[in-house]
Amino acid sequence: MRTIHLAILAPLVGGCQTITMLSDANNFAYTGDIDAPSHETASGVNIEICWDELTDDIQCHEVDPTSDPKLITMARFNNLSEVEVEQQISDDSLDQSSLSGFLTYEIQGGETCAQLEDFTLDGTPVVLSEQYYEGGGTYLLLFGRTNIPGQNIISMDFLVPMESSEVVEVDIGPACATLDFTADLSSAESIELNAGGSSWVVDWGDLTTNGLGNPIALANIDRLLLGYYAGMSVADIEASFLDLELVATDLYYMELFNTFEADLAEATGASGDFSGFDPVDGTWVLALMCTTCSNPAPLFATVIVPQ
Amino acid sequence: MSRTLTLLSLGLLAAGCCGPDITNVEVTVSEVIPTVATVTWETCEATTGYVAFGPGDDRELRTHTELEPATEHSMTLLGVPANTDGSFEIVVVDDDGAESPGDVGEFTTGGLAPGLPGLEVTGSGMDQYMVLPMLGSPVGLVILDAAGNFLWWHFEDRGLDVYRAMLSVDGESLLYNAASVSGDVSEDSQIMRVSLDGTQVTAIDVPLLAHEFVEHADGTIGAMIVEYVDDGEGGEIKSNGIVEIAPDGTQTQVWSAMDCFDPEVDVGDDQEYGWTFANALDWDGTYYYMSLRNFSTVVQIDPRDGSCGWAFGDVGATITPASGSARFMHSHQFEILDGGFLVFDNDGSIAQESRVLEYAFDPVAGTAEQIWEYTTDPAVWSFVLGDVDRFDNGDTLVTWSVNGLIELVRDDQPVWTMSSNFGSAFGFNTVREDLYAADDHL
Repeated sequence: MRTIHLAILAPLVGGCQTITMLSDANNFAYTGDIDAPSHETASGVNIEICWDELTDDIQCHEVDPTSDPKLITMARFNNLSEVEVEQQISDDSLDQSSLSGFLTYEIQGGETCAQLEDFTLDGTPVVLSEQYYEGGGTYLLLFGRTNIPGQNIISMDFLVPMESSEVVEVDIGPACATLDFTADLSSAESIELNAGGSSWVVDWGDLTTNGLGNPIALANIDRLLLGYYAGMSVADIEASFLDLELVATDLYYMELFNTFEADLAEATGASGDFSGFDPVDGTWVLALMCTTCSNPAPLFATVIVPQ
Repeated sequence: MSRTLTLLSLGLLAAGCCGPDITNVEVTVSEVIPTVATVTWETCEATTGYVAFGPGDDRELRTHTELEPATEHSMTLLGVPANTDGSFEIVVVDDDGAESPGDVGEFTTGGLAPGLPGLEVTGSGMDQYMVLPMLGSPVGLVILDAAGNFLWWHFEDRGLDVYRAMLSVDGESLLYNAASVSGDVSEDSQIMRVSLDGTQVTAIDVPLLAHEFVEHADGTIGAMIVEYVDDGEGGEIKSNGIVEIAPDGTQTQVWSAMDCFDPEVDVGDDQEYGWTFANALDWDGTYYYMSLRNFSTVVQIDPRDGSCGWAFGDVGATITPASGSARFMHSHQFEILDGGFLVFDNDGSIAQESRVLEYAFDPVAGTAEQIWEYTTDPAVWSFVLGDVDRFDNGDTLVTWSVNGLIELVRDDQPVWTMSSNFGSAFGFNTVREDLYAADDHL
């Protein structure tokens, strides 16, 4: 039987271009230990929750409490302790099946307090005494920047309903101390790219693990970030890794869809299209991001050494 | 005579040039859903055919056979995972059913869309496909194989939810409901149709859609709706009905809960959220079967005259569980078996735990006796949705929707599980042995 080749040819990236294959050895490593505050409250009754002091998020980025939070989610876990919830969020292993209930509240513009009795089950009112009570599980309160539960998380706090408590007000404070994030870029093998030229193609199809060492979801990579950090060493960048986009001297982005490779020449930033690694005296970092994931850490990050 | 011979000769000549040979074969991978490929080919003679295909050289998948002979052909290949080299073989079928395979072609599927949830699969024994709505992040619908591969996807990003999705009976598209059932139902709800390659999306406006719809063999859609009925005292009763949408688009309401139940007499739970609060619908070719959440009852409905047959459960029931049998509460999907009744029981346990109940069920005798109960370990509470399917070999597939967990249960043990990462839940589960409609459905 004759075989005919009718496959759609992968887009050619240029006749003589060099493709730099990214490997797991190039990828940074990180840990993100979470220690969320606990608030003991009365059980089975309405609680007023206020967040006017929620002025920074778990990445220590500034938050406007009157405009940034869009959704409050109270997730309930029957079979997990606070420590287990924190651990599973930290290592990205939390399954939906651990969830035994959730209530949400869509924040109206400008408000900084909400009543727990106004939280709904996806729009359906609930009887609070059946949803929030001592022994009902571990209750995690999440503030998010979108109306999708679990996405773009600003803060995490535990609520602990106690029959012995008479507390009916909870103040949510700054979230900067919730996440202890440590990034290790220096242990990863940097990649070398020509400082000049007109094309710098990188291919990440061979990556198997993310910065946590977990299997990487290549399909979720939807943004490439190329940053230049003048006067900053790799250690400096590690120390402010959660501010990767804030402390950069120059930033270039590419939105990605359905691809495992990209030409950095197509990345654009405030100073225009990327045209080469000039200057070369600072530090260049390449990161592959997932903008729809709840974990804000890049799936891949590495240092580029221009040649 | 001479001229006649000439014409005959020309006819023979033409017949000699025009046969069932396959020419101009092309394959195109969809840019919208890159796991889907479309194969086109031509035959000089009008023929029917199908395409055998699959990953690598394994061509155990096959499309349905074309209904009408044609010279220009097109088939969509669905079932190969992302980023996979596959092969296909066009097979021509003659009038006698004899099959003539053509050459083997190759194709390569593309990558997955960003935003699809992480899934973990353990165990074995599952060999079915699942058409699943996704809730939370993202909202949309997917087709999954037993290994947890995303074979197809479509996102619904208009702020509406998706509760039921299915392949259309003609095998050419997927149907889903874009609706909102919590709180106030949406006036903007629609039944959506998406072509297999994802390039065409059309909508049927069905205001106040509830959780479920079914498609009849002739393409008629039966959809569960919310209807607001005057209570005679200046208020409204939030009731339910069924609207049928004919293939020509004509919409007809064929049933109202008011036809069979009395709001003064049949009063269930949680009336502040609605009277009947219908939440699941099945169709057996003659009758609809609807789950009424606030009644904790499943009712048989005859759309020909809007009457009700048996009603099994609690409020308004003609059949109740036998003494000593567990009762289901606020249940969602169910399956009527030969002599049995299987139901996803959201709230019937004392604790906030969901479970599956099975009854020996005889609607003629009006008896129902519990014979099986299953709860996963650790127990989960799917406070809404939930689905259950019984396979021919006795296995039971349980979809713990809110919990993003699906289990294949055999001898009271989960032998295969699929779980989603935090933030992603499932709607009702439409299970398929084959992604292509059986030819007798066409």
